[in-house]
Amino acid sequence: MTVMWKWLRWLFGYSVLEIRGAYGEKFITLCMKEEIDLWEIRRICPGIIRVKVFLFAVKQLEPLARKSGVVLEFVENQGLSVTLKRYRHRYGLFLGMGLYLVSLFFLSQVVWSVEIPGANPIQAKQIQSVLLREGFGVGSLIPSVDYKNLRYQLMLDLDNISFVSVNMKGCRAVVEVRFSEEAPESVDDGTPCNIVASRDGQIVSVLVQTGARYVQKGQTVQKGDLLIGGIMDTRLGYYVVHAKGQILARVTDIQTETVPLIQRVTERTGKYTVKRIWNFFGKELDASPWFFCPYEEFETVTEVKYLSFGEDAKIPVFLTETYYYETVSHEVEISAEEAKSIAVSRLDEADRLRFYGTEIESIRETVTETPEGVVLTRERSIIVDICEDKTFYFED
Amino acid sequence: MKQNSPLRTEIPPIEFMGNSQVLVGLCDGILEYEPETVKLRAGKRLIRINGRCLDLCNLSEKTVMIRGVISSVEFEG
Repeated sequence: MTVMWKWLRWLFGYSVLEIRGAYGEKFITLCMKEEIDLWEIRRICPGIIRVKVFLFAVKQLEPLARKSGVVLEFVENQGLSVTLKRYRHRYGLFLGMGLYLVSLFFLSQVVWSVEIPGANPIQAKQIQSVLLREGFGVGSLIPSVDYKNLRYQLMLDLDNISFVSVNMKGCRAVVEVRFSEEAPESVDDGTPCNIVASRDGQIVSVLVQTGARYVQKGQTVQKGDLLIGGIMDTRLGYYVVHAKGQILARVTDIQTETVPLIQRVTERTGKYTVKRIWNFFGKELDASPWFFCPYEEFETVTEVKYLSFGEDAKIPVFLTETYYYETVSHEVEISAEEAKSIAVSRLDEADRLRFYGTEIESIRETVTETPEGVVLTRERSIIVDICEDKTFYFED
Repeated sequence: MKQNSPLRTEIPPIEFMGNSQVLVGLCDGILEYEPETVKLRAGKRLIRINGRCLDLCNLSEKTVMIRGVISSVEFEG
């Protein structure tokens, strides 16, 4: 309350004045009767009382002062009107204030960012492309957004969406999307089929769920050999089934990686040039329109610098700087050990995903030096399911 | 008891906040104001507030707020 009163007093403006004379109390009483607000009434010395009064009430005080036989002396005026009057010739200040208010209004009317929680990067990109096609993105005017149409277009254009809503939270657009879950792939149990070996190997275990077993543990098979048959022979005759089962086999996996001893190395010379592009609310402004890259060989590094006030307040104004570094390439000879370590790291990187969850029995590595370079051969003995469905056709 | 009964209106409401602030309602005028004493008229009664460094910090229609170190309040009449 007090703070609000202070602001109100400052807004309307007030005057500090001194009541000089022996009848200060009479003057104050008259002010009370006339409903003139006085505050911070303080006797500063005998015969002088200092008070504060609203500027708009000052004119009413003169007759009351005459009536009560006191003299009023104005000390100073305070408040917004006084401050504005003081700076009335400082046009730059008013221009700055005006620009500030205009930019504040403008910034509150445009979309600063579009967030799509719950969507993976690919889905988010698809949603963004639909939104952009409909003219909605960073820099769009918030009052002109047709939320109903956006929802409709997103539902229409994207598959597997069960719910979508576009909401504005301040200047951030939040697109809430829920994807419908895909139905599990139906297992085809009706089509008659055999199970054959998908690769060469030695059978480690056999588990038959449906069908006639054709192999046993310890047996070696070649790719395409029949493992579980879909034709059942009974005393009553033949009938066909969709063969099912799991047959694990020990198979050998061989991979080779060749690393040449002569390697081509690219190095930066230290020279570079920069291309800058400003982006204001989705509109690009090329800051270096006559940019030309003078280098024959170069590599690029792009940096995006956002204009932000802390982590959460990121204004959609950013500068994209693309650095073009001049490079030179030359050949260097590496040792066999270095070539081997490169080959090992390359194979490890490739194997990480390839053999994820696979049981590896043993690994054997052989390194061969050839005129082309070092050849690393990695031979693995792994246990895998070698079942492969093979449909067959029959006539009743 | 009705709010506008004569008995009720004659009594000026006085509200203290410790001994540092006092709010006097139904005040008709300031009779005397010194840093050590403030004398007010409230209807037929006279109220004298004694203390040190007394300021009339807010004065609006019929209400006076006095701040300072208040030592006593006296009623006359």
